[in-house]
Amino acid sequence: MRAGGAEVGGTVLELLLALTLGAVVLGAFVGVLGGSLRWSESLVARAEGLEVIRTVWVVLDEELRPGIAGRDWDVDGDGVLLLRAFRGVGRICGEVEGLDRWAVAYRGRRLPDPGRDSVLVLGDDGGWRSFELTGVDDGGECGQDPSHRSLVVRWSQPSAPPPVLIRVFESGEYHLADGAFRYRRGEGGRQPLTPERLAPGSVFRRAAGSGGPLEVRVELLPGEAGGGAGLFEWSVAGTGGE
Amino acid sequence: MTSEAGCRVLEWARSARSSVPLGRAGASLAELLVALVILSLGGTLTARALWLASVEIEGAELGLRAALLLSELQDRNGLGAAGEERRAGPGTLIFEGVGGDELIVRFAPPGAGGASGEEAGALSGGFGAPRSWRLQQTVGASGEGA
Repeated sequence: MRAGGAEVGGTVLELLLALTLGAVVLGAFVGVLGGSLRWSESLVARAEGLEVIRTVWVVLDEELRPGIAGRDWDVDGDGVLLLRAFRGVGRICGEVEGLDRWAVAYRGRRLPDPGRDSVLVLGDDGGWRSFELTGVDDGGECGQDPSHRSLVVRWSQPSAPPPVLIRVFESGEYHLADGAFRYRRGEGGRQPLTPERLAPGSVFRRAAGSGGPLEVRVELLPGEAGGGAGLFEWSVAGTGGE
Repeated sequence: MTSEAGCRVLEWARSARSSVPLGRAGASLAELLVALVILSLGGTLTARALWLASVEIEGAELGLRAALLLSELQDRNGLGAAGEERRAGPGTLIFEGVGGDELIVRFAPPGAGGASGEEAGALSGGFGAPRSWRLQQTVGASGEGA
């Protein structure tokens, strides 16, 4: 029996000290880890919020600037932004067969799609008329300019004045609803374009009949960790009013 | 039987205890200190990284607010004269001048106290390329650039 009482007491003391220090170190570690996680989640929420704002801004800017307030886009009583979302423009090169098929030098974000697009036709009298797009084929005699594509286009009614230019568009709606910025094409469902971070106070506004800009108010909800709330308001003007 | 087993365990524990070198307790304390230092260092580095990311995001938010406001003002009024302040939407823009195709403006976010606010940042950018505006300096008390 070599171990004396003093040695046993010392071991218990060491044990207690080790336990205490271990608890302190572990507590500090857990605290630092938890704090870092909350902080990083808050940063992610803030970055996500900015991404939401940037998306709304860029999309609306791209969609509304080619249009005319009141004619090509407007806000209804429920705060829904209704618009002609322009997808391309075509210069008329000539008539192909009869009066309802036209060769067009087309440029745009995508090719016209008769299933979902309409056309706004500029006649040589200077007036714009809208029709349903009924057919698109490759071909036509519009030269070999690589900046455009030669197409043969047909729409629902022959234009009374000879057409000069067409603008291809789809009818769409933008919503700030159900927590997200959403797009609805035609009669389809509303597809979210952003994460669901929008507060119910987010709205589109436009004074009726004023030809004024679209006023956008986007209120961000805080993320799960508490960061990222904010209010952004700005306006987007089209090319003019009618 | 139980007593005998208990004696064996005690004997084993004593032998184990006696085999621990005398300096072992000191070494454990040193290890603990090293662990604490490493932990502190890791915590400090993590906090620094997160703080820098926070500054970056703050700068990005300022830039976005400024770009939104500038875009709106261009739509409404064209560009401002040097020294002119425009209050609209989220904050204040102070036009400081035009050099070449560069527009120099200072942007004060909401609550920054206008032109003299410490959180005012500065933007410059070309007229024809509104999305190329660059935030020259931001933000807050940190003085970190974005």
